[in-house]
Amino acid sequence: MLDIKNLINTKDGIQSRRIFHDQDIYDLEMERIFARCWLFLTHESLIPNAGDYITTKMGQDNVIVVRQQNGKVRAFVNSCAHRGARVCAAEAGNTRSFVCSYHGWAYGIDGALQGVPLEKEVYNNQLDKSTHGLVEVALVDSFCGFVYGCFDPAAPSLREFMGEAAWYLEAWMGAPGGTELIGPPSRSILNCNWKTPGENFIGDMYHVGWTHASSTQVLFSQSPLMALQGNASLPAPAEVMGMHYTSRSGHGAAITYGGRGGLYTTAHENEMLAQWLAQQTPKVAERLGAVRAKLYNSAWDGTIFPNNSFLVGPNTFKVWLPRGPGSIEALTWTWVEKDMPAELKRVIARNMNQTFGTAGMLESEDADNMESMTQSNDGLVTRRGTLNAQMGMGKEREDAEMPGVVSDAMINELSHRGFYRYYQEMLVAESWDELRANSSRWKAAHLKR
Amino acid sequence: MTTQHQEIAVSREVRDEIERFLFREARLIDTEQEREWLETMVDPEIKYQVFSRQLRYRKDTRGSGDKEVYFFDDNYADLSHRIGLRETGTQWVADPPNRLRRIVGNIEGFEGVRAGEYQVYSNCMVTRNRMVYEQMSYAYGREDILRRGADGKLRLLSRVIDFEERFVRGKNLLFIL
Repeated sequence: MLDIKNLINTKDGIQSRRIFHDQDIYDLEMERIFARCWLFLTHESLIPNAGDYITTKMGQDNVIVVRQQNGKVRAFVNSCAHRGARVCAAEAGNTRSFVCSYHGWAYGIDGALQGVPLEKEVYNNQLDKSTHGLVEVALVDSFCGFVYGCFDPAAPSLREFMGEAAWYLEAWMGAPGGTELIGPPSRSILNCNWKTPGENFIGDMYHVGWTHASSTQVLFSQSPLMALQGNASLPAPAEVMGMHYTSRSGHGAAITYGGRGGLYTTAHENEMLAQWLAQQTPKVAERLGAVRAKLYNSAWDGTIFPNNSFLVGPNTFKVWLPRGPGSIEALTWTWVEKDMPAELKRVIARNMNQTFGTAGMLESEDADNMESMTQSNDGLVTRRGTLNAQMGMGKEREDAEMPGVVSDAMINELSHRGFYRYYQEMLVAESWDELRANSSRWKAAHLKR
Repeated sequence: MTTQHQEIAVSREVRDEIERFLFREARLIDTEQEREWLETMVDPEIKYQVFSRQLRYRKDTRGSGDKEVYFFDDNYADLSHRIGLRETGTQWVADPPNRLRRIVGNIEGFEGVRAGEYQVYSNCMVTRNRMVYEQMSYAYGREDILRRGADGKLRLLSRVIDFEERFVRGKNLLFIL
């Protein structure tokens, strides 16, 4: 019998290992998390024109995301209402219609069934086309140009779902000239549970010096992160180096102050980015204030619950698409600021792919950990045990300016605890009303000792 | 890709030389002698690129955005950094060692656009074994330009791989292709 209420112990920072293994937990995740939460789809910049579309997945559901004639973005399940075959085989493009490859049923970009071959002859004009459109994703909205969708019409707005994390994310997603993703994504399989990369990206700065010992030594020689190499010592107290935040809906990040620049191997490339940041920082400060101008210049590793991760510095943007309890597809884009010089965008994309793309030097180092922390739980006795995310406990606090719960150390597991707190709430809650009822007391789970 | 050069086949001697080059390269890379490969077989002006094409409909010419993503877009220093990771002794993904084995075939050599350069095509089949249970295979075609240096030896000046597997099942491409 599945006892979902005891998978996560937020107060003590403990998680059951079964969340990385059990099929019944995975099935519940699909139902309660992926069919109810806002999920990353694409970026406005990748589908600028009417008829532009991309295909992706929400959970394991295939969807088409398409720009309408009126400029709005809508999303539909990529499956024909007749016998269920897909209506779009391409990953992206521009079209006036989606045509099923099985019998030729044709749908408009608004999802409406428009054409049925031999309609008069074989259906005697008795097929009601108005009830055979593509199933529509209930909610689609964008945050700073990043487009998210949600299957559940009762869900809170995207802005409400982002919650306190919005304040932080605006520091980079809401750059003065806007942001864009450089597509197409690279796509690769990792044999891990979808939560293992999410929890790694949400704030695990502890692994940087060890997992990435070789790449920090070779690649980050001009970065403050170089000092983490080997996890032997810290160049400054962790409190001085950065912070963690967590938020109502489990989104969180680690922020390393001043760490956004210096990650490239050539002085010329580092100088290009440094000049850009110096030029933009006053604009960010004017729009968003001094604290967020500091965050704009920082390195970040973060996750937007449930399966969307990013780095500021290496500028990777990722979504982890589940394929069962032990497998994911990783999609990886580069994010840049829209008004950056073209050469700087190329530098950022090249460096992102060298570090976090399919042939990425750091990406492959992470993958082994994500896979083994999944696969070790194939063992019955092993998965009876629990996992520890207690780092930094007792240091959580509220801040006068920074929303959510924060902790003054960038090597920390506060954001892990926040992620799994919300994870368990989503699994347990029957309704959004039940979730909203917890909203007044979520912070206490982290603050109270 | 379309052919950019006239298809003037190289002489038998040069063809043998090109084949020996590709086979030696394969042996050095597959036996963790990438540094030797870089220093003795790679031109300092190397452009080393591996890209993946997004799948789009043939007739679709109006779609927005880039259609390729570059997994590798490396110069000599970048390749040196990749090779340098294992030399630190702390690249855990290479310890215990990965084992690579490749077959290089369908080799064609043509006179290049510039004198002293050769346009070379080859197909590669690579198997990577690692970490007890992992076995991954990769197949791809290479379009190379080899250049004859002042010392008379061939060096790799350019490699472009249009990687066909859109969804990479072998996890990553953390090896010299």
